[in-house]
Amino acid sequence: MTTRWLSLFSRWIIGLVFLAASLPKLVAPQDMALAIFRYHLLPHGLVNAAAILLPWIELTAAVALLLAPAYRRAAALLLCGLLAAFTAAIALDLHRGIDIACGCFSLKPELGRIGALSLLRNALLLLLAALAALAPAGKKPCPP
Amino acid sequence: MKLMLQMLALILVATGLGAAVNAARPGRLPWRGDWDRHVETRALQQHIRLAGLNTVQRAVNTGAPVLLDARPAADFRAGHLPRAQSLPFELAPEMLAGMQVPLARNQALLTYCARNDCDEGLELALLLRQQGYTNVMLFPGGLHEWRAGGGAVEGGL
Repeated sequence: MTTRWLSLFSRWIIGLVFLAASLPKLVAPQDMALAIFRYHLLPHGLVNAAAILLPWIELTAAVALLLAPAYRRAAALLLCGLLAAFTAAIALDLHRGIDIACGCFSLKPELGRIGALSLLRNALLLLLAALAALAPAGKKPCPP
Repeated sequence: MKLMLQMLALILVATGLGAAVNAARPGRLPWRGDWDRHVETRALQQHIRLAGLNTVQRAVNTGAPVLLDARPAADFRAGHLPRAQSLPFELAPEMLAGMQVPLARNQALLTYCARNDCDEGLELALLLRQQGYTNVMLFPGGLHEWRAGGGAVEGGL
């Protein structure tokens, strides 16, 4: 029962976090492209495609996690994958000494520089996403 | 297997939505951008280190690294980063030769221009390195990014 409630809690937190994270990126794809480019990890030919598609993948998975019971686990696993990739990108750039904005929740270069805190935050989100993925698809939590 | 198919379905829906909205958007983003010629790509190819706002903030607070404004002098007078010195790219060879801007060869230097689509900052960084300055960085966001971050500007009205 505890696992179910933990899973429900994690699902809502992760769903809302990714909803919030996707919106500024959907509104300003040019800024999103620059934020991705500044990681200097993707081949240049893929930067714009990632800027166009990533926010929609975040939004679709977040909506499915919150509102489509049959797709909950798939959505949570997809978000786990995204979080793992984002965390690896931040860790790599920190290792390379690149000082850039995260581009995680805001695309303003002056906000949210990458650092140990962004790694810690992502690790926590990854844990929550994994917990959200534990819930059996399509089942409501037991009443207390 | 079912889970994989569901994940694939979510990705396909997202791809369709992304492509459709981007196509309908007035200032749509091309699927392939010309990032190869972007000033930051050129800087990295030339092994010029890139500085972010944290480094610039340190330069403004402490004077190290030394901030060099590569824009024309009139632009510098209209507003520049605090503590920055004017070293317009076009005049830099004469100014350095005439010691108008005294700099030590091993001093940490940080060049910038207006924003991330100008290249005087990069050109100045390359020129400085060519002239034997060994510790040169570029702030690619320039004055625009500094201002956007709420940074104070010296000079101007």
